[in-house]
Amino acid sequence: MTDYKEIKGKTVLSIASDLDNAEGQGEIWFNTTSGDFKTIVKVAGSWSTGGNLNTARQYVNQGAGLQTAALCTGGYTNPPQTFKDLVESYDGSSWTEVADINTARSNGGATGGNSPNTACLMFGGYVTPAPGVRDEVESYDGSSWTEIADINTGRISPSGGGTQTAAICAAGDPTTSQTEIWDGSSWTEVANQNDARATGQGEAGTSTAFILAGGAPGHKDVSETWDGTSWTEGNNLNTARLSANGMGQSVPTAHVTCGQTSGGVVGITEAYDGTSWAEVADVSTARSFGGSTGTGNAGIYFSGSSNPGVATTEEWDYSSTLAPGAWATGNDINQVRSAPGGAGIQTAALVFGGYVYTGKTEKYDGTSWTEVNDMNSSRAYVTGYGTQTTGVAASGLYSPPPTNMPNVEHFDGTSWTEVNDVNTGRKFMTGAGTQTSGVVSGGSPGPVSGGKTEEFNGTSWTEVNDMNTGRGNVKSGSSGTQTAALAVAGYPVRTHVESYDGSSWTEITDVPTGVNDSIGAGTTTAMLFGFGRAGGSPVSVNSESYIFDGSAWTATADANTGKDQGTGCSGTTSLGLAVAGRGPGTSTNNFNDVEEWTQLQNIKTIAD
Amino acid sequence: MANDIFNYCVATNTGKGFITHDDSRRFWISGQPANVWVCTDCVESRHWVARNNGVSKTKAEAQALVNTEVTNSQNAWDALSDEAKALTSGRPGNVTLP
Repeated sequence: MTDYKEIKGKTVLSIASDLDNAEGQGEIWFNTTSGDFKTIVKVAGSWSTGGNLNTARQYVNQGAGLQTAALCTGGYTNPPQTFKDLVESYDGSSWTEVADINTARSNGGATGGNSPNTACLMFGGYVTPAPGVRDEVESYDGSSWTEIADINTGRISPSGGGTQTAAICAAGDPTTSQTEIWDGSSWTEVANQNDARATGQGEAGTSTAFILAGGAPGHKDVSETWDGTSWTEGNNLNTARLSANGMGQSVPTAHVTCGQTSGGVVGITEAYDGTSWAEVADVSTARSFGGSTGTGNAGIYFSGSSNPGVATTEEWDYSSTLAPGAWATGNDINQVRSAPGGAGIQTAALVFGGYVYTGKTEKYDGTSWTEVNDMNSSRAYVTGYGTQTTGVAASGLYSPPPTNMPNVEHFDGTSWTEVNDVNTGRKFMTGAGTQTSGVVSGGSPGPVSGGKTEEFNGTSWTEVNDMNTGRGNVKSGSSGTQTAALAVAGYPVRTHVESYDGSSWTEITDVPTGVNDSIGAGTTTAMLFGFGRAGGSPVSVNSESYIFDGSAWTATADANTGKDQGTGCSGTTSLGLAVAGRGPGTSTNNFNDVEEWTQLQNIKTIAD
Repeated sequence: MANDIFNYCVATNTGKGFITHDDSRRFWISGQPANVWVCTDCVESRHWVARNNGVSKTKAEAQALVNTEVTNSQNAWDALSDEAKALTSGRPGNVTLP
């Protein structure tokens, strides 16, 4: 411990429970409860699909930039045999065509640092007729490409790195060991590589710290690093290959992916730790001669050889410290019901009302349910938000006869008190906020659903701007605050999602699966959503769930039981709760089951 | 993987969101010619197929689709000029699904 303090400048933290956020990555703490030293480490990297290129092709030039700001230049299709001058820019979601390069070509090198869209170099490559090998260099300023000083030795499939003013060009076909450095005005030959190589080698780094791995002739596994002065051989790749691609802006974070082995194309990705290579996750579609760029934590691989070329993009993520999440069954709530209201979080939840028209209220402490005082007005399809000790039950339906109730009640941890009614009584609304600053929206005041929105200021309700798409049967469970709320999905089978900013509703990214009577809770930037009824005949209930991060929905683990008309409780996307609900078939097929969502940091116990 | 059970489907890669990082972390998935996808068989991968409007296939059906696509690619490669062949990474090889 004395050594640790001297090295880190602080002592090891002693706490009774584990750190639970990404800031704990790399930190060491002593858990006084378990008696272990612990830390948070990244989970295994993974590939996902990204936006497809507008033009499918193969043999594109080396990629330039970052996962969220990348350029794909040139390429080749056949038949008909065509060399491309196309350039597309990737923003982390989709590709957009930008200004063409002047000389159409394939298999060139490129580099653009962190800002390829305003400062990129593209060099070398191939285009028929013979001899075909190019030495031209083009520079991009964000609007057009300009030819600048040629590289000294024309080459196909060179490896590049660095920036528009300090770049390296190494290796290439015809097989060469020549290395050139660009200083912003001219290329200068420097020390040769130890191992001449061509036909696509993985690369990463800058003009002063660079790594090459793989390539041809044959199928190479050797790697070597450049320190700004000379090349040094390092440990070999595990899988020898040519036509590989690299990612990483520094040597210790280099990754090599895809390529051709003696047995065919592979999707194998290997990561370098500064000393040796280790296999990590494969791309989903093995291929070679594609383009790649980015960092060791966030890269992309796109295009690739497969006549007449492919448009596929895959994104690499090696940044997450979150372990995969999962649903697990919790202890059943006492009262079987569907369409209750919910408030609070997984370890301090409040569930009230529901079908068949009950006012029963139960508290959950993360382990067991305790019945407390009933609501004053029994009802189902009630909207809930707030906390376990400051809950809100708004509107709903009572029967017989079927009556939309405008009643609103506040819970103080012990009992319910009536406050002022909403202006329009209805069922199946969604709600968010607190007892002094709430908002409800949507729902069904009659046979037709609407988009009415009302705000509560602690005393009275005021009608404000409607949702853009009126709907009932919106997600149940609290969804943020009065000035940052979400309305998700709804009747009949909607995928619409709208965000409320305290003034108006804006349509945002649709949820992938259209459902109504779904369950969700969280905030506008961290929501857990799922379950619901998808329609069809016979009607099916859904067990899928998604996490929303403020811009995109990510499918995550399915729940154990499909259902609708439950309610959700959640403080974060790490710990969620889905309570009660209804199974397929009749309206009396109600549940009292509970499922708990858990997605925690990837905590490791430090062994000797 | 030798003892794994797989499911097979045909699905179009629609880009972002088709395969998420969460999908990749939960099950093995591999794209093959003819839009054929092979996944380890589990609840999550079956829902992935449904989410992407995939059409489930038997292994034999999937292999037949792959064979047809590969044969077409091989025929297209055979029809190329020698110069054009030299620009490729070689004749497309046969693919045997796991």
